[in-house]
Amino acid sequence: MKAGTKRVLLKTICFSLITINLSNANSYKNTVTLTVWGMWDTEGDRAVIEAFEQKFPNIKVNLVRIAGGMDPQKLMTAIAGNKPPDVIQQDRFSIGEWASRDAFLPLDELIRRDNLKIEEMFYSACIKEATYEGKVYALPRYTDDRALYYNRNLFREAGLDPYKPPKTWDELFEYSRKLTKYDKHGRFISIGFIPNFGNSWLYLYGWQNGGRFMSEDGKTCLLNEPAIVEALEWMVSFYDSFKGIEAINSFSSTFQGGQYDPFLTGKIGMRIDGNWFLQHIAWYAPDLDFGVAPAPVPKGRPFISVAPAPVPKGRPFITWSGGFSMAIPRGCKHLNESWEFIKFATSVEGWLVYVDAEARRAKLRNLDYVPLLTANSIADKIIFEKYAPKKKNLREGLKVFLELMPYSKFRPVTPVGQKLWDEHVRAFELAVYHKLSPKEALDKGTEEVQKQLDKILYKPPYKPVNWNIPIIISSTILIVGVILMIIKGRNMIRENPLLKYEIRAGIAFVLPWVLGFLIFTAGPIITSLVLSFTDYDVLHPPSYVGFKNYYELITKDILFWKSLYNTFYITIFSVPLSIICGLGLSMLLNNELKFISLFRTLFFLPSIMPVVATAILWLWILHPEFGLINSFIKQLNLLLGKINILLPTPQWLGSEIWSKPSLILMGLWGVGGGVVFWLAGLNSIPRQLYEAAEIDGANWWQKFINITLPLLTPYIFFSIVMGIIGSLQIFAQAYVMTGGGPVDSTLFYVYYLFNNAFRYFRMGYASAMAWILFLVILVLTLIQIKLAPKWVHYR
Amino acid sequence: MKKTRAKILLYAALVLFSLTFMLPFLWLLSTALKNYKQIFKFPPEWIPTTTKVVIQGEILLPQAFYTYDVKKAIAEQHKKLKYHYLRIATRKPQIEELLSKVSYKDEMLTVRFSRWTINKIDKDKIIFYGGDIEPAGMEEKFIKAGKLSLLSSTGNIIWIENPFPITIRNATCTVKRYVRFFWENFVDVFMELPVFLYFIKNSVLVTLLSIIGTLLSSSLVAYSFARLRWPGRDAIFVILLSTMMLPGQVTMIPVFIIYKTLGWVDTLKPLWVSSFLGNAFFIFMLRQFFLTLPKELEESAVIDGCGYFRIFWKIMLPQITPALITVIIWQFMSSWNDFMGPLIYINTKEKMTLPLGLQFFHTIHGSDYALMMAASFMMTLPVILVFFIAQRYFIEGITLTGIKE
Repeated sequence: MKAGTKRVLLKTICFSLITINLSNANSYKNTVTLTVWGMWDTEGDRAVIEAFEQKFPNIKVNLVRIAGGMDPQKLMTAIAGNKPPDVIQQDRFSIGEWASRDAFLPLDELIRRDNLKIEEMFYSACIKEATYEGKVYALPRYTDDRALYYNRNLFREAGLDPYKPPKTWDELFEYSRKLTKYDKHGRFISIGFIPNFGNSWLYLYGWQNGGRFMSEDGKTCLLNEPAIVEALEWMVSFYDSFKGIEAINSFSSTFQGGQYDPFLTGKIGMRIDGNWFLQHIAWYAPDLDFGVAPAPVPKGRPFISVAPAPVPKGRPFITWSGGFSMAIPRGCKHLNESWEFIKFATSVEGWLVYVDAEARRAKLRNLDYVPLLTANSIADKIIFEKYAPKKKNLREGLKVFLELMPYSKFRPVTPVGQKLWDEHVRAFELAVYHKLSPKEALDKGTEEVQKQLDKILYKPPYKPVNWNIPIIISSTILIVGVILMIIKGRNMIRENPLLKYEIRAGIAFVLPWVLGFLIFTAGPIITSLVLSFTDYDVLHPPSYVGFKNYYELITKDILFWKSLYNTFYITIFSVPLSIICGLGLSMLLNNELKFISLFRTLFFLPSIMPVVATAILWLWILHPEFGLINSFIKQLNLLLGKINILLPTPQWLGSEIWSKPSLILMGLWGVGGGVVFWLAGLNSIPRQLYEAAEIDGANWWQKFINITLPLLTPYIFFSIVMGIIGSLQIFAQAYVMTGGGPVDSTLFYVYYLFNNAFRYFRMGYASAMAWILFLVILVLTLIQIKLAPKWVHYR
Repeated sequence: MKKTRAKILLYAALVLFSLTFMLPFLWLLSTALKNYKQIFKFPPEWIPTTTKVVIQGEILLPQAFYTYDVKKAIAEQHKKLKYHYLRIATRKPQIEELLSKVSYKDEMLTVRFSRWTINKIDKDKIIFYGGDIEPAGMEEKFIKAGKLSLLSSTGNIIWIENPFPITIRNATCTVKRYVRFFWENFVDVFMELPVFLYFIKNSVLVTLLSIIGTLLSSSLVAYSFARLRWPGRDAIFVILLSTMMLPGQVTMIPVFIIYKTLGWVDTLKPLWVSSFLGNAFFIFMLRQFFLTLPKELEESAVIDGCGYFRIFWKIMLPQITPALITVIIWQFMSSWNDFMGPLIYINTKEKMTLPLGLQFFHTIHGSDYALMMAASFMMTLPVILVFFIAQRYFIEGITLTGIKE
């Protein structure tokens, strides 16, 4: 083209490129992207985000769904790794815990600045639960509460007045008796009420009875006060009057979800559950004739007017709430923008957007929409007017939940919130399984929580760790080692000058591993040893405490010993069993038959399957009702029943006694992995020995005892040593399958270690545990090596 | 005589045991291929089946069904649902792809199907595939009522907004069961959790990088230990051996602190970077292999003035190919199955690897056993494939891990 045109074209291109870049740069500079964790990917949330982005065009919201749901571990590693989200939607009851560790930012300044009337906007339970030591750390978003659902049809059938739900504990018990039906074998067809099915927890009954769980000043744990002991005793006696927890669990394991929910199918007559269950009913059984009433209380219930929330006279009924709130983690890079977002999401305006989107979505699917409860009391009133379902049952039910909200209790705000929850669950399990009496169980729990609480409240003065000592010691060793190497090197070169190049190459090639060793092994070993003498929660620098961790582990920590016991239990059974089975299997496979390699492969396969996949598969196989094993036993029982024998169908992973044997059984599935190893061993035995024995008239057993076994002893020795080391480190099964339960029967050592490190922020403590493990392994291995000459034959 | 009897006994024992061992696998596959309704059955059924329900009679469809404008319907739905969160039909909804609730009067005759059932509507009959009819034996009542109503599903797929009531006069109904493998369960895994693709991608990435890193570094270091003379060699080798006895938990926390200081938390880097710094176990094993090679190979090369790296790269490495393949396979299995590493370092679901992703999946859809089994199978498949391809090397590797030392 003509030169002139070319120049114009070039100029236009340059000009446009520059302007594009400039405008991009501008928008790049002004646009802030917020990372939000913990919001759910629902129509409503997306509507809120879009409305917010329209209101604030320079802010973009990036919704991230985090792994593991509400697992605190993820947030902790993120804050520790300096990559926290800008906003986190967090379960309210744990706010106190995070606040006490300075993980969240207090919002009072901003509330004051923007003149936010939080007392008017939010229910008192919600805002109080997000307050720690007088400061507000989160704006409450969702809330929920609990009440009694009851099936009016079943009431009619049992001769009860369908419009008079039980009001007291005694009435609840009586009604439940009438609603429970058994079949001719004494198994449940339907049950009236299960105290901890649905969502009530001991908290509800404890509060109803006037318990407090935590003192007002937050310094004393009151998990074992008499009112709560009474409540737990009532729960346990309730379970026992209906054949006990195991029978009830067996029945409830047949419950399914969705439209086969037991309340919808008449398998359970009453349940205490949250307001969310209304939506479930609306979806799957909107014409169910049911009612909602406040949960029954003990007769002559004392009126208490102390924190958490006062209950006015004449209103004996209470409920309790939980829910999610939005907080801003420390280290957030966009404070103002995050604040605008959480203000919007918890405001009336934000909620109307949310509810509108959700209602539209439900309508498109021809479902009744039951609005959720928000923490914003003003919003709730408007939402009820506009969106409450038309069906009478649902509407009235929702009304009951709404009216209970102002009088709701909430879980105590304390830095040991998670621990208090875990211990209260543990106490319930111990009591209901009759391991301990309710009082003993609660006493134990209280002690544990109090220990933790004391540690946080009465923090020993911060003693900085003197890192110089380990640094000097290790540097000295390193320098001495290097000097020795240099001296030896010089000697070698003096003897043979050509070695210079070989030495250079040798050291250069080894460098990657040496570097890795120093950075990832030697350094961490020393660091972890030092850390084991400190208190370290990752968010603050470690504080020196001497041998306190070790002392506490050995003398005060019951779970430490329990986890050791559990781990040894598994080891003692699985190591010998796997050797015997592995060897036996290999002897079977050590024959020259056709297709033998196919058989060998088949047996080998289970051992290469990933642990997580194996765990999930066996969770299914060991399912108490529909799993392969129990179904097989049940079918066998049909036959054996004729000769009056009935095999038990254990709950496997759900039973305290059977949980570890289940895992041992699962481990045995992988014995095929050692087949190759044993085959190598069997084949190393010279044939002549067998032939000589045969000439002397030895039979199969004698050959085995006198030839095979003795000559296999080196292999057996290796298996035992490696087997013990491996078995002591069992972890994934506990994490994926059982969560350490039931009643800590599968709490294994490394799992407990992991929890201490990444769930309870006790890294120093966990490091001490790691070193004790190392010592145990070392001692056991040394014992083996010492004993070896007595029974291991080398040739 | 005795020999053949022994042989038969052996075969019998082998077959019996291998069947018992394979049972969990078969159960895995069986569950993965079943319709979710068939899973909770007692006695348990092994073969995935489905039911075919044929309803014959005079079928009357409302006019609206014939004049249903697909494009218009889609536009309407797009307008109503701004976020496209729910998948929308892109063609005329055939009765085919609907989950149906068949009801008459007040009672519910429920015909439940799997998510992607094919149904057909012909001139004089409607055919539903899949699932079960319950309560069983209700076909009689249904026939009498003769009314059929097709509603949109309660899942994440919206096909039509309003039900098209269909009337069938003089209806007869037959129900047949037959074998059908629900391959769509595997597709469902991706549908329910699209991020599963990321799990696979991340696992592949981490595994590949780990394998490359381990191969390069471990072989180099092993060669140095085996064939080169340098001061402190044997002492450092003993140190290497002793690190194998250390339980990982001792170093777990400080290593986490290192990575957090580097800012590598919630990235994939902690999972593969350390493999470029050698692996004690493989170094040990490869050193043994190098030691078995004849010295003459090197000596001739040295005389020719070859640099040590070239000797390593061109001469020694090719000689131990079987051992290298063993390293590849073992490293593959170790990386692919690694659970604790990702558990500690990965937070966001787009960065998860398969083991962690599978567990994450389990926390959401745990009760949906068909999906879980399908996902577990997909995770195990590559491992089984790799094993079959490289069986020989696999076995050789185990045999040579220092029992003789």
